[in-house]
Amino acid sequence: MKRREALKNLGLATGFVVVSPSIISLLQSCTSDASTWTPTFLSIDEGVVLTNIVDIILPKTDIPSATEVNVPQFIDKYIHEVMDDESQAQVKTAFGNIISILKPNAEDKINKVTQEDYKALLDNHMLIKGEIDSEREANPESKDMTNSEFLNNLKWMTINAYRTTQEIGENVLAYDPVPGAYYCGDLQELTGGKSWSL
Amino acid sequence: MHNSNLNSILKEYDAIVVGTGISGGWAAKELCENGLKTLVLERGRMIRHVEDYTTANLDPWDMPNGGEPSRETKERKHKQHRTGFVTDEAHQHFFVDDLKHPYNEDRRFDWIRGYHVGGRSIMWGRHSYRLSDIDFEANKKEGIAVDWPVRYKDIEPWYSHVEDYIGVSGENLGLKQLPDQKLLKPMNLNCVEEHFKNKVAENLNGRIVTNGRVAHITEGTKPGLGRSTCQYRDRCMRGCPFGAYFSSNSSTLPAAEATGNMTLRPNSIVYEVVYDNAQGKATSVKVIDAETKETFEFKAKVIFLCASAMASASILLQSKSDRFPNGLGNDSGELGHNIMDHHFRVGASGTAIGFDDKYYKGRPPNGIYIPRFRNIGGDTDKKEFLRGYGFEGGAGRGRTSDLVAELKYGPELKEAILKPGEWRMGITAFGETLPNHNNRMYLNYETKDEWDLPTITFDADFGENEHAMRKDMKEQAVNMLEAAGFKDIHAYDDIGGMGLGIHEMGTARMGHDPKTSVLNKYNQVHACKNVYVTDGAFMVSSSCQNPSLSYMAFTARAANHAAKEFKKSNT
Repeated sequence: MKRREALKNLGLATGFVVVSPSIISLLQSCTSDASTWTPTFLSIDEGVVLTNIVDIILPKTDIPSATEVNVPQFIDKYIHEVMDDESQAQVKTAFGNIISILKPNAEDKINKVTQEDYKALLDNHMLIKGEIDSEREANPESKDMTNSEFLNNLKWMTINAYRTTQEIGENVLAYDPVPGAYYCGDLQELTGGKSWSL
Repeated sequence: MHNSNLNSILKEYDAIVVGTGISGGWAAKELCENGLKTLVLERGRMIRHVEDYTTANLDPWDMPNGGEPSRETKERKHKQHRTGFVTDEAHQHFFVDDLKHPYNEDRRFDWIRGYHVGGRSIMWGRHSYRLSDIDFEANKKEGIAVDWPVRYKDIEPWYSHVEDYIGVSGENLGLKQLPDQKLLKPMNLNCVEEHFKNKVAENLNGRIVTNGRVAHITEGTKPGLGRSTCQYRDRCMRGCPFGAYFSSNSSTLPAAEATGNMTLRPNSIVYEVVYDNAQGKATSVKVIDAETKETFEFKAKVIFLCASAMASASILLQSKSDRFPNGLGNDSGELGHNIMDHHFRVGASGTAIGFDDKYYKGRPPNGIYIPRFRNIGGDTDKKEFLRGYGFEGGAGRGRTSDLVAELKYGPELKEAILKPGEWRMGITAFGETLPNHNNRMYLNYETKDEWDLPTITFDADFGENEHAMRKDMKEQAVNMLEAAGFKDIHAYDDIGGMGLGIHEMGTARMGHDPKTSVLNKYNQVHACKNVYVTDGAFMVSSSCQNPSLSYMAFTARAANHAAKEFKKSNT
């Protein structure tokens, strides 16, 4: 049970940082040039997959997309600097598994994978609350992450990284570095319905 | 072996204080204010109030990886990391490097500490409660260990003295198990905590939920280096630029310095108290400079050990002489024994329904407190275990909407991650640990540190009474959350290692009898009365209340006793 807890928690850790806010990723689609961002921990292909997935999870609306606030770079750095060897190996294995789903023919270029392919991956393999992970049920003791566990970890890492950037933390969420007081009140009046960033 | 290269004695002082944490700061202040020329020795580096709080104003995005502990930190500070929180980037620099400062474990012990001026007074939990006569009388009544040589009336004025100076906020309740204090106005509870408080009282026979009593200024100011009211940032462990909570750095050390009587020497590892058999007292302490490894000997008429329960016991154990072959003051064989901590990591959490339109401003460095309600007489008495426990806890909203769990991706998910989640309330019990001679630390001369000093080996664990108590702690946590109508209640019990409470106590206990205790009722070593030990080492029982306030009160009392004795002998 402890081990499964650990797997579950892998992506729940809060916090990532803007390393170089000036870099706006060009990797917003599967056809962009992968050489504009070289991951530290991940391979180029894994970096491309990560970049595409985070922007499907948090796409551009009237506020920035995940890549616009450098979420892929944060996640790559986080895996490199925070995770231990065992967790890093799990991430590597899990990336390999989803890449083989995205392009069953290993010879194919990662750039050939389309937005629809990525969405299909999430639709088919990222389970949500209440759904049963048959892959885990088939291998309850496996130390590797199931596709759903990994994709959910990616989802939470993306969310936490996004919320922990300066742009979102200071300008989108309710930001209050020195409150000076503590009291309860109406949600709409206090923050307009937003969550505090700190 | 260090004697061979001892430098000549640099200077003689009236008093020496070893350590600058909660206890050392108070010893320094009281001794200096009584006119004693005092040398204060700290093994770690200098930390100046405000200017050395390097992370105090950093937001998560200002820190690497949002402030998560790096794998390097987790590797170097692997024992500190057992807490799960002290290695966070925001305050990991206040905790020791386990590779540089090793210790050994016959049985697991989590020794969580910081080596710097101010010690753990910078990172402490700040809950500040008095012990009562229920605590001071318990050992005698139950025939456990030895009797406290002190009763509430002896220490009561010193609690007041300390509280007046440091500032403690909270609410007086007139309880026999939790004496009233000199309190500043309490911090607010939030609406779910208020609901919990009312429902617990209504449904559980008047059981009390109150505001944590914490050493924060909530109105006005207190003396020190610019101390002002709490700004509700909840970044206390990084050091407070507002001086809102008590630390040695903001409060007692500046007071000592202001007298002109204090000499503070950081990077000074004390490893021996020198005993003079002819005079029947201690005459000096031996010191290694942590950086240069030069050795010194400093003389004084009075010596206060405030290095922490473990470090003070270690210094005494290292202080061997013909008169004290087993360590200074160790006639009883109790030195290093009777280690206590508080056992916790047991409790429950639940979801509060019906408060979705409510939120809060501010991040309180505090929450609720539930005073002990077991074994305080009448129908509160339980036969399953001795002593009792209290709860700390609080309520808050999740950072993201609960819809996030039901959505995979897209604009709707993006909206949901910007909205607060459900209200959860969690409570954690803190229980008394009985003293047990078999719970001990001793010196290991085989494994030495980089200063060629012996390391400490721990051999301690919780016992049957603690485990029996935990069943009730867990049950009552669930009971109270149910009484408040909370849903989706999760109970937990994960005792972890002894030491995780970061309340180490008992290694040089007080007592009436030199044959069974190390210190007398004024914190003096029985057979060497110019050595006082006033950190957690002196505790005879652990109570369930957080201990730091008691260390301060006993230190202030002992320091004033020492100053009186000093003046007597000089006239």
